[in-house]
Amino acid sequence: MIELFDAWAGFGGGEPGVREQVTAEDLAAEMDRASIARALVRTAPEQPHRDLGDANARLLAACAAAGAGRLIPCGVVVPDTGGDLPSPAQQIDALLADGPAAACIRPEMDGWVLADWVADGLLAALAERRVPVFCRPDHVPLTDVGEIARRHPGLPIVVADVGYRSLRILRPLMRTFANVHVSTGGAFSVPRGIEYLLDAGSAERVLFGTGFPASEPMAAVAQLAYAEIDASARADVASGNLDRLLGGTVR
Amino acid sequence: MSALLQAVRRGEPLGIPDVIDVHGHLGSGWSFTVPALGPDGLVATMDRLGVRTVLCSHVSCMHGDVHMGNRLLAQAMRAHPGRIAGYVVLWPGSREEVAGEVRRRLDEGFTGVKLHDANGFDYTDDAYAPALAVAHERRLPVLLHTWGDLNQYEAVFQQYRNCPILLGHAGCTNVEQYVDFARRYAQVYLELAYSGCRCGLAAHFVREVGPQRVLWGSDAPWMPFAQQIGKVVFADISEADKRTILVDNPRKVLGSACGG
Repeated sequence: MIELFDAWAGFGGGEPGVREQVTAEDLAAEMDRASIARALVRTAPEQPHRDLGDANARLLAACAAAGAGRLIPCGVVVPDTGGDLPSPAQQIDALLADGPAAACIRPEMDGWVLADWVADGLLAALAERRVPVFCRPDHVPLTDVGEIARRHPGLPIVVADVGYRSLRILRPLMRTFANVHVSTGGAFSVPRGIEYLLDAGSAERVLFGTGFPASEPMAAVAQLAYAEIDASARADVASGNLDRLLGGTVR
Repeated sequence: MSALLQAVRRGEPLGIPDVIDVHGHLGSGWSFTVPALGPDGLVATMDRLGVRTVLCSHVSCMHGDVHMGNRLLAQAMRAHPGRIAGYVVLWPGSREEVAGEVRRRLDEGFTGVKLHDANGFDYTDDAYAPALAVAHERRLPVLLHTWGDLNQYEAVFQQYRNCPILLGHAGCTNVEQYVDFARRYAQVYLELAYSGCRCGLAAHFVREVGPQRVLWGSDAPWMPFAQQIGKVVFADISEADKRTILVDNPRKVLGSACGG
């Protein structure tokens, strides 16, 4: 069976009105059931962090406890423009302290915007270290993804939770900007979506992700398993592309 | 790992005979890109997964070209007997128009009725009454597009108790309301097509209303068959319950039209 490296999973967040919280152990159990070898994990469901550094440290600790590179952290980064947070370089150093890592941005939730005079200090620092940056269209609309991809061509950007009505925007976005990637999973219920994106010349920029805990992991597993693509492309989507991205980080 | 999960992991046909999808479409072209699979492409995709039958409505259910849509679907049904079955879609111009269209299409071999409120009309619209009455009389399935607020449809549930009423996209939101209505109305079934594949939803429904009231639908080709069936085969329920959802329930609801 092909090795799966989930680019879009998480645990530990609290959802308003939902008592149960998904733990790292819950995620591990789901990974075992679906034979998913590794996962890049963030705090999910997303929630505001009272203490960003502490939240990322706990995420790193949970990943370390899982052992042997099974879970890789994807921590939240925020511009230091309010004067209350460590510099972007310090935030990135902390994320990369234990090994490979990625970052995610949630501008609206964390009280910032993508205008260059707010965001570019952070985005430039991430680009310099080639840290993959994950975002959802709810936080970063696809037009804004294009804008920051244009401003920071060295920044690997991964869009996740892209809805099934987005192909008319997503394909030219990926054709235009070589640093834009997309993860499956969550709302990515695009029929023949993987094939469409590969046809758009993006074979190295489509990542397998599940969207757990919001979404059933096997939905995305099945979508990839039955995609009409060759074995090499399937292996790249399943794990190779994310490995390459994380391996390109400057530590 | 069960044989079913192994089959999915390897991208092989599921190995469960006679899987029936109760919520498919024919046609493309809407406000976003939908692959133009056509009937042959639809069946080829089903073969990759091992899906026996898809019960389709034409995408014209969402606008006014229902006669064209029903005609194209009838052609597809003739080209792929037993693989593509049809819901009649209707435009509620008048009771007479609806009565004529539903009678004509049922005579052609259509299996049930699909209503979608994207056309701006409630399912309680008087013009739909002849179609619902026929479904009630003949015990034909009625698939309703729903999106959370079921109270607006309750008059339909109260009046038409003999026909299976399939609540499309059950649990997309207001999960507990779907459970509540399935408990209150014995003819109501929960159909699972939903883009986000909410984690644990199928298992929750099985626990709350029993596997006999849950049906698998994909919404293909708007959504991928594979992604949509993944949430059922991975659900934390017994293999027997999965078979109930994928095979036994649709066979019971759809009757002889789908090989039952």
